[in-house]
Amino acid sequence: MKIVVVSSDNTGGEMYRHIVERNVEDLALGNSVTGIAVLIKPEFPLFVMKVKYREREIKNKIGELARIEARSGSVRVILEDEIDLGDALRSLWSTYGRDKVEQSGRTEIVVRGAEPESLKELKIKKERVSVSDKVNELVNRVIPEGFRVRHVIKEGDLLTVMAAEDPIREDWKKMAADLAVDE
Amino acid sequence: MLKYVIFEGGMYKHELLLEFVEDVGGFVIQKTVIGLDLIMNLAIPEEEVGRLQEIVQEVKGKLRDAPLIGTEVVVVAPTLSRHHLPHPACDIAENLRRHGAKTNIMGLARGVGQKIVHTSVQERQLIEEHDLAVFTLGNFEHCLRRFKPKLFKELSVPVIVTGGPPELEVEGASGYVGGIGRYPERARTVDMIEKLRRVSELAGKLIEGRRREMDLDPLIIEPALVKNEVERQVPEVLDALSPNPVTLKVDGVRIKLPYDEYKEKVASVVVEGKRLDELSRITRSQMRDYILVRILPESYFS
Repeated sequence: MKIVVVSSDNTGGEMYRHIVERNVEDLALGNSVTGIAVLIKPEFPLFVMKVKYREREIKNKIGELARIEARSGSVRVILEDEIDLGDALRSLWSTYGRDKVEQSGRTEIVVRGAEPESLKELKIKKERVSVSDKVNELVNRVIPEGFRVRHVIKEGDLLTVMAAEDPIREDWKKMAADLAVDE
Repeated sequence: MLKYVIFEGGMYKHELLLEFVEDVGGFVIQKTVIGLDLIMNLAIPEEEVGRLQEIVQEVKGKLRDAPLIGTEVVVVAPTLSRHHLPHPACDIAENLRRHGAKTNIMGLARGVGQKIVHTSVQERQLIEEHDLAVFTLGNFEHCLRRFKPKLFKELSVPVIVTGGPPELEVEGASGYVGGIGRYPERARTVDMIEKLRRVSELAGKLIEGRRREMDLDPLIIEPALVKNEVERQVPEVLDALSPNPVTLKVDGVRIKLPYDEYKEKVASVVVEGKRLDELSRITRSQMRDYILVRILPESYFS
């Protein structure tokens, strides 16, 4: 993934590059986003963010997210990623009860008296979160809060969000269109 | 003038220090015991620091300057959203606390943008209840220089601004510390912690300057003495759940009790033979419903 920042304020631009990088990490979008371009003109003021990404299904069932080991009377769930631990515990607690679910390690949960097959089908989140939802979240986290006038263009796998304090001008739209997203 | 210092050492023979502080007319502002370790925030007359240092060496402790003891500092973020909180504001506040200040964090309703940015009268009054304000602003020089000064240029308290550009002259601010703009993670690197230390150091200098200025027309009584008397004569304050129920300020104290219920009781506290309301102005604080006591200067009585 390549991040391009074009800014009339070099120091501020570099700080925003760091903000974008950290938010991509926080939202675990590293594999889904292929390129980001940001144009910052504080003197207008204008902030443009273009994100190119691959839409893909995000895993939601425990069977997709973890290795399941059946033992006598209990099932051991070994999650691939610690980030899913909170959601997995919440879901297991509500299904099997707190007394039967025990966290035995950073990514390990032991469930007593569970059927491995039905446990594999258990969903850890009520609703599936799509990549585009996460990309929208990324854009909202990055764009300065004061820039409340927004213009959004979605073309296939490319999302362009323009943000300003004044109504978006046609020449700004042209600037945004000319901004290239490297992959 | 009183000098504010932090003592770090053990419990062994610490009574020597307490006796000395009492004898020279100083105050123990805060005493924290952690196991066998002892941390005390002290205020003693400037000319007695040398002698205190000798006692501290005798009890194998350490003494360091902390001009921010006895001050209440507000860290102001442009809003309460995740764009501006928690990292810059909380990191700065934590570092100020390590230097002895009592800190509060505040988010403005409309501190963002270039056109909508402004502070309300209530927000300004709340900021002015503090001894110093630190504004944690963003990354762009153009915004900081042209649009943000309206947030603080009318304030009567000293203001430190932090932002992205390394160096900047900001109209209306008493000081600027660069390299701390909007950032999305906790300050962990040596470089970032050094910048936070610079904020605390600058705050210390500004507070010391304010105290020296006030020394030309000193307060009629020391705020630390008022704190001790309030704690003794209004014992309910010790049951208040708020942190530092009697918070020291450069020119008074904030008492964290409901104003309507305790105003009379606080006013009738006797300090050096006089009622507190004869020596100070007691008002309702903009923070919750607390009581704000501002001690009057000597010139008021001459």
